[in-house]
Amino acid sequence: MGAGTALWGGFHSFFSIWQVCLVQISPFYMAFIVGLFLATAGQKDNPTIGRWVGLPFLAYTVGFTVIYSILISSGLNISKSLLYNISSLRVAAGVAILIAAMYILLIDRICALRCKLSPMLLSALSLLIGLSFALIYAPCITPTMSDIMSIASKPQTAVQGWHLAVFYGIGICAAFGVTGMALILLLRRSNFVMQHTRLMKNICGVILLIPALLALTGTMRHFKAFFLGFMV
Amino acid sequence: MNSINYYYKNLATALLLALMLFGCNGDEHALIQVGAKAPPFTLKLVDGGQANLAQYAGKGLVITFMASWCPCSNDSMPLMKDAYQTHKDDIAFLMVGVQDAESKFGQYVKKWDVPFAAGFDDGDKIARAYGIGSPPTTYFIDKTGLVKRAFYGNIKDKPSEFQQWLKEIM
Repeated sequence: MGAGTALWGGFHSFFSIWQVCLVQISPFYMAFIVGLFLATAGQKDNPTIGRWVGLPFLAYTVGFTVIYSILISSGLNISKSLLYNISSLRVAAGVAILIAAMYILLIDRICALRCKLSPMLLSALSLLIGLSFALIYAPCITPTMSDIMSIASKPQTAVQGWHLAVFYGIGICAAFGVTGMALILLLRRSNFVMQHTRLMKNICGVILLIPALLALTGTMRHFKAFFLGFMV
Repeated sequence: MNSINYYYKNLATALLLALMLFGCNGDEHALIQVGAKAPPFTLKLVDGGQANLAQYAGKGLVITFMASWCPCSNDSMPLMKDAYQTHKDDIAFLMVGVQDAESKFGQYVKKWDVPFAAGFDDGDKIARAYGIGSPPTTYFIDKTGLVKRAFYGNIKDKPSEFQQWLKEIM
């Protein structure tokens, strides 16, 4: 398997039956990226989308891909360590997602949050969300992922498998980015949304509270069993 | 610029702390490796009984970690049931429910009329010891308790390999 196949496997999974598995995080990512946009750049008359959305998206990709690729590569020592401590790490991820949700909900109420606003700050928040989503995400194993995992689980080929897992992770994030960007551009054209940015960003913030609470209480498994179970 | 540096310094410190807290004790809890002994476990079965690794000594064992919500787990079941019918005298089969709700896993076992032992891994403790991040994952353990092979994903995609892997643990 080559890097291109791994990249396409990750990208394609978003637009296929495997979305069933991605539903664990995809609606929450959309809520995050749209909420962040409406709470920040959406308030400006002529925002530079590249800076306000592009940079955070790249930061999210880095955060998600680094952790997700390591978790897939069980032949690496660091992966074993992460997998063994995954329960505690998921609680930490819940705290990080909670912070992001509160940021979106409170940015228009607390001056200190507004004053420090910059694309770099949003990128830092996105990096944290990327790391957190990778930790709470435990999908069904797709065919491409299966091939990558069989390479990455053996200590002698673990690094090669990890490289492929990095491309697979970038593929997933690219699909998230394309969809998120399309959603933002679509919402910007909607008069209703742009006239009710505060309401819409609050809805996004509340949606983002869901994975935070699921991760903090260790009930993500119930969300998967009862919500994803309906789709299978 | 100073505020940006301030935030990145804080973020880097937080990440470093998280790694120190959670990332440094991997060697104390080495996870399963192909060629190594399978970690012992005790599993409460759906039918009320109990299973542990020791009771399968002297017989090949297939442990498959599945979840009711996972399309691949559902897809794998017919082949897994067929394999059990063919090899039940030589190989024991055990299904472990992970990343799931206990009630939904119970329904899943009933829905598929699973003919071999199945139990719910409360708190994913066995999954953690076996290094399971996602379902379905299947381990092939030989008569001496050594892990001969691990397969990640839908076993239906590898029918001939599956038969070969079963022969390896007979």
